[in-house]
Amino acid sequence: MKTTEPALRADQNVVDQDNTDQLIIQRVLGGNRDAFKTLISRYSDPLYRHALCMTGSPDVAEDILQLSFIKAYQHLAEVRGRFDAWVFRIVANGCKDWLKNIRRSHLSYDEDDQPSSYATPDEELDRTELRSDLDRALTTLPASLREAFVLKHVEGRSYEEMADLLGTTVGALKMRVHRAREALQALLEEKYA
Amino acid sequence: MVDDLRSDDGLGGFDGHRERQTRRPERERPLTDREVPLGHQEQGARVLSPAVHAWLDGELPEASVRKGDTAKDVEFWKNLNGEVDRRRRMRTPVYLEARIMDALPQTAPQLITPWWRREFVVTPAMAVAGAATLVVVAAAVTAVVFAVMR
Repeated sequence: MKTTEPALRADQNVVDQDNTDQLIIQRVLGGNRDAFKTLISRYSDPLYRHALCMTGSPDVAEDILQLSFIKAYQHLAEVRGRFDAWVFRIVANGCKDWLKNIRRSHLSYDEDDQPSSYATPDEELDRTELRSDLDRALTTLPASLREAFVLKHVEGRSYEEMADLLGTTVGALKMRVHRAREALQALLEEKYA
Repeated sequence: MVDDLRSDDGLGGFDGHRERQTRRPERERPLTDREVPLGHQEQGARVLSPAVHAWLDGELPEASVRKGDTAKDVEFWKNLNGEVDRRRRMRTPVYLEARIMDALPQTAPQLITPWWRREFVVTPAMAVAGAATLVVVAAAVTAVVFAVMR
């Protein structure tokens, strides 16, 4: 079996991060409320991206993230295992609950906090159109396919990581990602191929 | 599909005692919980070549799929990847961290355990009181039964 050094280093990073998470959790449980800020800073970006891609709305994503971190804080004494996986599940379930409850035709994020990196106004216009078309296409996917697509393509996770986070098998996740890709391509290819 | 449906508590099935639910065998799970084979596509979906999926999964180099029928698919996904990359660079709005910290309870988190999982300590006095209660209840029930039988 071949084991590469970067892979070993990545595993070591996960272990180190997990250890420091546990130390921070102990400090918070000991009454140091401000220590929780470190956990928020460490994990808010990927969690926000996930919520944003799942809901398509920055306002909703912010609310889900806020509620999830409050829940995580209140139940912090119950964390067994990796904090990042645990808090991801809280956010993912928050998104799914929102998707279950929402009755809407379409919600799109037209505000963008990120500076534009496109050279010309025409290019920017094309990108804005693609952005809203992709949002619209994503909203037509079932939540489980959308979740798998976002984890794989937006968050760039491996199938093994996804399986760990979602508590399912690599095979099942590959199937979901494949189906999501095919559905998205069917919806968008006429315009963007 | 084994998505965790125990999301009412928002904890994603992490109840502090079990980290992951045990999966039931495929046959025991309801039909709605199973993966649908690839043959059954989403409505209107098209079938992508396995080579394109492998390329998108990083298992094949682009050159191997950039020819023949799959060239068009490669163009499509390269076009889409620009937008996906932009999403990957997104960051949490700067004000959100402070907003979350302000919304947190002021008290330190406590272990919230349901009463049936809490540790139960029996003191001698409690044991005597419990036994006495049982005797009284048993006597009362017996008296009622005899009264009814008469």
